[in-house]
Amino acid sequence: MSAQIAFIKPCEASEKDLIELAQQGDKKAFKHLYALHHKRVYGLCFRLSGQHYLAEEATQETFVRLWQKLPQFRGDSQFSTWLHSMTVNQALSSIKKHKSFWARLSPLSEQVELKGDEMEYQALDKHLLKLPERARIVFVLFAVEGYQHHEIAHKLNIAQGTSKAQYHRARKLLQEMI
Amino acid sequence: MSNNDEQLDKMVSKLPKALSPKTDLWPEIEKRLDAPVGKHTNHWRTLALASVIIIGALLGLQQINKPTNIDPNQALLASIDNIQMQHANQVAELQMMGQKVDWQSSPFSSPVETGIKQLRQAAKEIYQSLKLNPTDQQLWELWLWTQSREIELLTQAQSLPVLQNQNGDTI
Repeated sequence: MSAQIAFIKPCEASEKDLIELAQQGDKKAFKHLYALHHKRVYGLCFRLSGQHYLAEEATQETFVRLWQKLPQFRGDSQFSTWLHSMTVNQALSSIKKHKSFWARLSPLSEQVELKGDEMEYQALDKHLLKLPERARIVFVLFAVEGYQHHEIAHKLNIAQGTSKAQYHRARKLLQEMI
Repeated sequence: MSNNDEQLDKMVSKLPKALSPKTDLWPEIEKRLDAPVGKHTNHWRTLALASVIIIGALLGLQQINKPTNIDPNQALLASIDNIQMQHANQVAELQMMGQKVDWQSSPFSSPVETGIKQLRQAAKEIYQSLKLNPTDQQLWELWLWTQSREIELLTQAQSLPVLQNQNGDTI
């Protein structure tokens, strides 16, 4: 079965085929899945963490976890939805692991400057990086990724009202920046 | 809706969802695909390790401050007593919680209780040795482990099921 992928160009194999092959341990198929999704995963990790190195680490961890958990994927939900949820959890876990207590309290410290040659990044990305960590995470999950406040509250282990307050704080800060 | 509000919403809607990482992340991922799945982090091990580091730092500080008249073991002995007291408080709290929540003894908890008793005896002996030899790192590790294990067992004992007594001698 694993040889099968060698005869299928990435664009010809459907995502469903790639998932099935990867579930059986086919690394080439998994690499194709990586190629299809890594930019989306990285984008999400970067906006949540606000750091390149953390985003890279979280992306790597997400795909290693995906490889380990893939046999459990039964197709009940969309693969992209499943991967998205896994990515958010992994990014939040990486942030928690790395950021010190003080870094969370000092909002404008440790800023990442996006250089002019990083064309993919929009002006908003530069402003997002300047937000306090919690406010940024809530804003990204709510406004960019479409999560509901009760879902964010559950993921961050905070009250729904706190999530709403953080979102409004982020919005106010961003409005002042633009 | 203000201009700023509208502008912000427009910027959000234009934000691309995908971004390229600066480096190729695949080689590192590929290397890790064959590695066995990592075990769950043992927080007590981390705590024990942190304690050893603190002890090491304390010993180092004592070496630096040698010319003073303070007994170098004094701080360690104080730490031992402090940790012992904190642990005793934690155990008392757990036991009190157990009494509040469920005052029936579980028939399944007997082996656990025996284990706790044995562990306490061992911890007592280690504690006495440690008081005599407060710079022994291995003794420290072992002592901290017995404490963490005791807490684990106490928690475990409290979560064991209680069989309903048919004779009606419990409320």
